[in-house]
Amino acid sequence: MIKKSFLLLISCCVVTALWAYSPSILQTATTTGKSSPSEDSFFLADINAQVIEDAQAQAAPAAGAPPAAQAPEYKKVGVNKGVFNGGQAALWDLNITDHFRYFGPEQRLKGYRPEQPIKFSHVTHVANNRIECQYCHWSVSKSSYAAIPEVETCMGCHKLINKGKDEESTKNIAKIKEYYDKGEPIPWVKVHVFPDHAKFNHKRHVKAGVACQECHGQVPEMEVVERVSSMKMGWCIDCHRQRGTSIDCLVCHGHR
Amino acid sequence: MEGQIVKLNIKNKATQVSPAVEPALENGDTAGLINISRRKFLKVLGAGSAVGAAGCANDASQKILPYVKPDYEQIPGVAVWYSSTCTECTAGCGIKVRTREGKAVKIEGNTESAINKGGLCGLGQSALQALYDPDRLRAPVKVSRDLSGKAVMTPVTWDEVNGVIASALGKATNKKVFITGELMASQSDLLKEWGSKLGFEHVTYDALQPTSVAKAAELVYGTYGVPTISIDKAEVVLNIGTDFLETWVSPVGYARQWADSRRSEKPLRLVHVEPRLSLTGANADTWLQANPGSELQIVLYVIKGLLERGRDGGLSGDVKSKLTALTSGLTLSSVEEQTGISSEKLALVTQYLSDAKSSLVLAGGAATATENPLPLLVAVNLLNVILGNVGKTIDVAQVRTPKSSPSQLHAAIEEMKAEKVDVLFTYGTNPAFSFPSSFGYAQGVGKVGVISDSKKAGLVVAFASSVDETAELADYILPTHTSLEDWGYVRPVGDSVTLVQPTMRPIFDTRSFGQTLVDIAKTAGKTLTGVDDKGYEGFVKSGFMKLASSGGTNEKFWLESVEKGGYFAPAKAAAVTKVTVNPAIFDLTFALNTMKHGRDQLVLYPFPSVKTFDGRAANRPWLQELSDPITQAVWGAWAEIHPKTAKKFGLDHKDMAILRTEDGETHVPVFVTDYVHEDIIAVPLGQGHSSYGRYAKSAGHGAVASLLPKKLSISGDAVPMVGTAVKVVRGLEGESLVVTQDFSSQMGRELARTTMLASGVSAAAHVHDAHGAGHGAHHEPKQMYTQREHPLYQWGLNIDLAACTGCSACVVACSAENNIPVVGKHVVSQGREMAWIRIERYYDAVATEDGGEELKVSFLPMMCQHCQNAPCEPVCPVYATYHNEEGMNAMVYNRCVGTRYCSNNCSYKVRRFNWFNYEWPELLDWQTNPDVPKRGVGVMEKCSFCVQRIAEAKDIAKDLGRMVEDGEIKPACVQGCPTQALTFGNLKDPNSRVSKLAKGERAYKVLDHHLNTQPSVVYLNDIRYKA
Repeated sequence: MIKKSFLLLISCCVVTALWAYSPSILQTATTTGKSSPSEDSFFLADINAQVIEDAQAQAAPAAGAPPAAQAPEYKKVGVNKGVFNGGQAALWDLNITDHFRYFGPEQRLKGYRPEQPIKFSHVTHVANNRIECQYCHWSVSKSSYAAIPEVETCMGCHKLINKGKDEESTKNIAKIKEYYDKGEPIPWVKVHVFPDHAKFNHKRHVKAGVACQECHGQVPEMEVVERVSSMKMGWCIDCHRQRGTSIDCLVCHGHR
Repeated sequence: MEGQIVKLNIKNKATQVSPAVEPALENGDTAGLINISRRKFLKVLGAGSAVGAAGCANDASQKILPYVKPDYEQIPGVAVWYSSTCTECTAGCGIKVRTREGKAVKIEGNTESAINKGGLCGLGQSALQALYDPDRLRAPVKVSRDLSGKAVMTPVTWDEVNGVIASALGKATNKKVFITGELMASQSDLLKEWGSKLGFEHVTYDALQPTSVAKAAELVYGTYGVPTISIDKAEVVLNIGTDFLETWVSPVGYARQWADSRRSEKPLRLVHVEPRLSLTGANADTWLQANPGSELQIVLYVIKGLLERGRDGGLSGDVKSKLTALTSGLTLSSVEEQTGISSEKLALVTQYLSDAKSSLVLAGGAATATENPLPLLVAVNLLNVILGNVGKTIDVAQVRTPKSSPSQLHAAIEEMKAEKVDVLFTYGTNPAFSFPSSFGYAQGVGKVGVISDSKKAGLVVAFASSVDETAELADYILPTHTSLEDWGYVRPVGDSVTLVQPTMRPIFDTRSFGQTLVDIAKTAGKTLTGVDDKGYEGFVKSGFMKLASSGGTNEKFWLESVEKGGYFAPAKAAAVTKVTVNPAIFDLTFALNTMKHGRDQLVLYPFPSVKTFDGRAANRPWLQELSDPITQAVWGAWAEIHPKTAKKFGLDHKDMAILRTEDGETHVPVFVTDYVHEDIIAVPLGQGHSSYGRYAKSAGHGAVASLLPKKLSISGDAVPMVGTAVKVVRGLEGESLVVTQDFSSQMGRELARTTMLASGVSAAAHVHDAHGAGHGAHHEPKQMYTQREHPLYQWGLNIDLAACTGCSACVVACSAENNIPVVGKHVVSQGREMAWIRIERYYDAVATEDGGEELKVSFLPMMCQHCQNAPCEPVCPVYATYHNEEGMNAMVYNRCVGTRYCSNNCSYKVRRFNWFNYEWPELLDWQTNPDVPKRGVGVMEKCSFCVQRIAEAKDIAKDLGRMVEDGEIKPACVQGCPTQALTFGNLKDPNSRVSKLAKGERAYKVLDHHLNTQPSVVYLNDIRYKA
């Protein structure tokens, strides 16, 4: 009897493992609700490429010909899955034993998509209207925080653009004005909750050429922002190992 | 955590409000005012940083609240610094306030300031805890009394109070009095104008002001004020009782001067005379324990010796003959008998001063808190003239002018008692606590504006940010900004004018003191000269521009000054080099302050302490939990007595004693020590509050002012705190005395080492005589394991014991920077204090030149030594502590499971274990440094070399594409040290300051020669002259 149930348990585990590591299932889990923009409008943001391009444009303006009115070439960057950690992952970092993934709180799960106070669409703003990430999240290259934009930044455009593509969008735009007039911040719900006792410095990663999507996923395609990375230590270490950067504990721990 | 400050709030049984003190709020108290509205809270918080939703980060969704409008001055996550001036005491040190997302989180010294040059004392650093005092007044209140006479506070509006004040001012027919402490110059300038327009009499009282010193300077040098002194220019300093390394006049500046000389080629020699070993005395080369009140004899004897040697400093014949007549009666034996100091020592002191090319004689502090302080001070000034110090080490033209006047306060109280005062305002002073209660300030306040026994038409208004004893007596209390929220200018000394500027928006419905005065004048229909429609802020600006006109006049100058912290005038040479002494000073009676006491009595000797000053710092939890450098006592007062006296009174160490005089009594635990005079009982000032906040109140008894008689010094300049005879009785069980270091011997382990210098020999030349330089200071032992390699950096800390005074400012700096909890007296008594640095204090006997022995006190700042062969590392079962590639002993909190093996195996006992979750009460937690994680229950912690600052510096260096430069990283202790005794840097770089110091001849590592731990903290021997 004991032997039988043990076998059952083992087979259960194997099935779970297969499911967990199956890329196709993973894909469906992470891309629900995405719209599919055409390939050429596909975005974004090798920031360094953008910066270099800006610099080049500034350096050679007087060549006579106006700068080419074409959109910058954007590079598609994949999500850093990282769970395998080069075979050196700690037990808890493996998907099969990842209690956060299966039994943990909702906001630590992949595909966590909390309802936001305003239905802000990155598809509209980023993919369709091509607003650069750092136009709104401007502090990402200046500070360890990638701050949520100030309400005034929203109002910068929406003072004029007060009609959305449909009635619901118009209502959402009106909500921004409401918060702004009241002088209250919009209570956005945090999607990428980082573990305690660790520091993640956005500035360093952006300056090192890590693209936003590697951790945050294909945000330009998300109508509702969702979590794509485990943000667990093994996931961080994996990338640090691949890039040959320091994996000293004090790089991330002991301060924040 | 990125983007927000998450409040870790794991509520379980182990959670303690830090410290375990019950909030002292009762019905009708300010409790009703605590709940500020959510909207207000958000407004104040300024968003950007978010409020972590209540509950644990793991089980609730978190919000990110952005700014509504961007604050163009700041980037979220990047600190903004504001220059300002410290107003905690009157020294006028420049400060830089670090703010994060609109909240002040750390105060550091401003390196631009000529006064403190970057360091800051514990009191100045703890000003944040006054800003974030959880018991702070949050709106104007009306005070009424219940049947038991207790103050009951009901909130009122500003308009209501302004109306009440206007009508009271209109009705008042008798006197109007305004009692303040020493105010910043902008406030006192405004108050002068305001008082003259509204008919107020201004009385200043501040318990610790050296008014007698200023008066004596006027008598001898001709200018009223405390002269500017240059301790670093003197070869010999004879110091009679001033605690210039602790609280006296400008302690941070003096400590820096003292240390600069001590670590130079030719260190000064400090001779200190006092009946009780103070921190300053502990740093002296020669500590002379004189009978209390007999100090004048020593000075006169030295004068006699110098006159006999033909030194007269150009005194006029008349003065000289009078002085000779005054000192002629002194014989060595009579002086020895009266002062209790041996004749050899007395002769030595004269010899030192006579031989020195430059010298300095100081008197003040407890030595002048006597009934007749002027003769001593005048004699000291004459001695300075004789030694030719005026113009060399003393600048008598650039003075600090204390305005405090106990006699004026006494007169005001008498008038109040006689019902001649209708309106009384108070601000920035606490006479109800610090002025002897026998003068009856409280009774006086009760009679303000009394018409008949049952009717009262007068008004008592207190301006205060925290409700102290004085404010509690008022009819209305108006909450003021603290100086971290207000504007102002300060004129510390000379031509410099420094600025006070707001570092954050006001937290509560408080108002600037100056602005309130302007508003009151407006309501009363008076125009104040110099005040336009911009109010007090405009007054500050125009006043500053006028005073600092030698620095510049345009708007650019103003903006630069605001950025720098004010206008720092270039140093000037002393204008006066010769003084003509008026022979009239010999009309003074040059008599000793004989202190008599009965058989069952002792002489009360109150002294100001770095923990409390005069009581203003009693409500700062950091300072309450700070171990007193000498006694190592935490939380509350104590009474130091000599073992012989203790035996006589049947008292044991830590017993409770009742001190009783005709005027009152108090209970304090006894601290038995050899280094206090047999006739005295020494009690620190400033404890025993009945109001002022939960921390001050919970610290117990010990209010000195309740014991003092109704008596002022003969000249009326001082309150004679020293000299009262007190009856000492053994008390019943009471509050215990908790000390963090119960031993004083190094047990021959050479933890704190000293280089003994013979007279006149430079430090460098004599280093091989080092006391116990002993085995292996530079000897490399064989290593069993391969040595670690550090590719880029190997961080190291250097501590120069010759410059360390033991003032403990580093401990406060560390607490502020690293979110170290305050745990309360009870937890400390269990040995569970959390401070990452402790200042160990050792008493050693060192040989004198004549073969005798003398006391040598050593202070040893002890923090994690970041050993290369760390004993803590191999015993950790979970690899939570390990050695990193930058030479640091790293501690990973979230890996720690709390076995405490590391702490058991640590040779230095510097690891601290979180036995509970400690949390600040609301508001104090605003000070939390967002760069440092809070540690939860069950986690070990210790000094991290301020790893967050290292990370920040490396971040900046990486942006600029270079290595971290020498001196770029300053851990909190290094930055805050008033004497800059600590140096931090890269040991890997042979040219860094820290490497050079570590190779110096005074360098050693604690316990390394016994244990081969190879610490990264290198100490430099203390220096001491052989007596």
